[in-house]
Amino acid sequence: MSRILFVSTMAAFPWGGSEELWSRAATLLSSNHKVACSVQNWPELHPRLQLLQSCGVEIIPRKPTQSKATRVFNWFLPDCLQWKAASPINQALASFKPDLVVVNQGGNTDGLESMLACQKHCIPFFNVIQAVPECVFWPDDTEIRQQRPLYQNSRRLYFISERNREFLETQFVARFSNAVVIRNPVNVPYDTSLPWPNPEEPLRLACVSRIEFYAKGQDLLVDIFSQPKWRERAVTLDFYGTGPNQKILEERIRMLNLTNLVVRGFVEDVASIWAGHHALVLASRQEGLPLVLVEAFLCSRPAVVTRVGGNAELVAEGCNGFVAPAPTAALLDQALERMWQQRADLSAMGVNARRTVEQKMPPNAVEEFVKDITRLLPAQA
Amino acid sequence: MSNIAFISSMYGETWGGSEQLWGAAAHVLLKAGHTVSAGVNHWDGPRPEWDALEKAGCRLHIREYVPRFRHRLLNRFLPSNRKIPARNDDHGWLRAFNPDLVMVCQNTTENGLEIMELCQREGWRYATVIQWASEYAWPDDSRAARLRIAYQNSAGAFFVSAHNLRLTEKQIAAPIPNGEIAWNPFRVNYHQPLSWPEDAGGFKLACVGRLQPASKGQDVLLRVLSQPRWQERDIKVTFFGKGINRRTMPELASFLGVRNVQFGGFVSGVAGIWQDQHALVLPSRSEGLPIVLLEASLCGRPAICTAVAGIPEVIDDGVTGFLAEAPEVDLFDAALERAWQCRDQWQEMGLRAASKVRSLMPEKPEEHFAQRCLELAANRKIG
Repeated sequence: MSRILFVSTMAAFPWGGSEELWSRAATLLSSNHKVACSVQNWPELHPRLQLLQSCGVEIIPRKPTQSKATRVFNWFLPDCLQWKAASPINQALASFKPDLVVVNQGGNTDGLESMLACQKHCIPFFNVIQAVPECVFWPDDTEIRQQRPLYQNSRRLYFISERNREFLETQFVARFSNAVVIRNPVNVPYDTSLPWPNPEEPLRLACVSRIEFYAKGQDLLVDIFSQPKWRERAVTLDFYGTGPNQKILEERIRMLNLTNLVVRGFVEDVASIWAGHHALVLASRQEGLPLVLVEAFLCSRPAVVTRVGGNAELVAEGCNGFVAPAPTAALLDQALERMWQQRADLSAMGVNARRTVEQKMPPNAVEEFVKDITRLLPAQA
Repeated sequence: MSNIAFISSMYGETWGGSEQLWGAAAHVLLKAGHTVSAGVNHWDGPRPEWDALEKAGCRLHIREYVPRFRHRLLNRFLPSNRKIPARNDDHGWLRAFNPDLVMVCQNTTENGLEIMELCQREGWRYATVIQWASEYAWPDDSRAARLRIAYQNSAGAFFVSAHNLRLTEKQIAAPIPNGEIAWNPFRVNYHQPLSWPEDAGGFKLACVGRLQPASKGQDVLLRVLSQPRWQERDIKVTFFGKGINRRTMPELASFLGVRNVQFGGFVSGVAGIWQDQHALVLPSRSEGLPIVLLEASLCGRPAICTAVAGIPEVIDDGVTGFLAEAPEVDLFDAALERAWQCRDQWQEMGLRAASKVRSLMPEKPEEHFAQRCLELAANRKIG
């Protein structure tokens, strides 16, 4: 029986697609091992974390703690000599004493603190890097030098897409021989089978993702669909999800009087979206490998995507969807135009999409991940 | 005579491209006898531009981030709601200054929000100049709603490119009817392009900009150049500029096996760069409107750039330079390839680039901007 700690660096939102893999792995591992997870300190536990807790996983929220005596003592000291509380990660390592740590990162640099803590406590660690943004959050020279050896010392660097791996190697100017590409689990059953939506007209598109323009690019779709040619066509586009730019999205749709665009909000059951829509549209500016893309493919729906993250590793132009070579309105418009011209073939492309997932995405992603990290468990296990 | 206040949101450096315009306009206004004050952020290093402004008669007010020592001591004994803050408010000195116009100088679309709101509360006339807007930086819904009011109540909103103006309108989901274009000052001769450098020994391209690939995209260019095709050609790229990745970029070049590049460091005489370089190459991921593009063009050099922000407003693809649709390796490679195939036309294209830029921007943008400041300030006295 080993002790395994998962650290989720997610801080801006309580839950997201990036949390599926580690949380399900934690559930699986909790039957044979002592498992804990370090998460952002939210006022209340997300239902999925409550679920983990009920499986016996210890939840350790990251909050700074300092004894009253220390606080009184500090009062007499100048700022530079005050006793600083150990970081919450260090505290979690000291109290839980894990045999191994899995750091689940949303980006390229947010695992730094956890890796430093593991190094200090001599605990082997793994990194799961859920996305590598290319246009924001570049580390500076010092951060690159600090973090590069940590990444090289990681037991494994798990990436969600090949492009993410390549880009991180460029960014940190290093080959990571410990890197592997793995797949996230999805939220629809692997054996889903949905009939093609009727009627054929209007063509019903869905954009499913957090409404946050810098990462997900919904603003591009507003620009594109405000052109006369798209206004006149029998096509609708529904936005699913919520996020920090939702009101601006609704406001712009209203201002431009785009009657065929609607913001539908968050929907728990993803398959229900695909029962009534013909294709997925993603305008993302950065990605790992979007779960919604795999889910749409599982439901036999083709996709129009931008070539960011692993999108082009699943979507093959003209076969199971369409790829814009970059997230710009002009290039995405061209991809959507190609889709429109070939709309009669979309249901056949949906069949290809389903086949792509069967070939490239293992149904047991979590089990394989668990097998991989436990194989590397320290000897005493 | 008017009282004009400039508030800079520049942080972490004293001076950069975003400060050129208001700094130069302040000198113009001071010379004409107006009273000018400026609010800037604390900076420990040398600050020649600030010294020059002060010498010309500008009052500088430095925003600090840590309370003074005696205030820190006092704060130990004060309850948390009575503690003395750092001197980082523009409130006191602006009130004493009684401005006719507060010009809020932002290097994003939103980091002047608080000062614009202060002006609204105090009833001061204000305008804003925005040096950079990017699809990768959006205000959230609540800030967007506040920004909408701040922009709509401003006397004027100056953007460095039409793209930045339109993008800001998208970010706040409202039109900015008083939006207009402001050109940044440049450091080269407006009328006389430089003579064409000898190209028998190969072509020299300059990539001029902060060594910060997150916005300037140097990694894209290095990955393009790492292909054997480019390694075999008579072409040499020199990188000019400093920045937070200045040590990593040369490492990346040798990691990728790129031999025909050189890192030239920072050169203060811009015209000196263009004396012996044949073209500008700029794989930017985000921009306002790069001053280096205007300068290279005025010197008679064509440019190979990404079509981001205001760049396509200046470059006519295939006529005065070459545009890549986006900062992607294959797209930038294609643009560079088209440029290479036309290299015998670069000299001619450079001359066309110079006349294009002269047709777009005035000879003395800072005088034009200073004039606009005075007009906006004068409206207050009339109204």
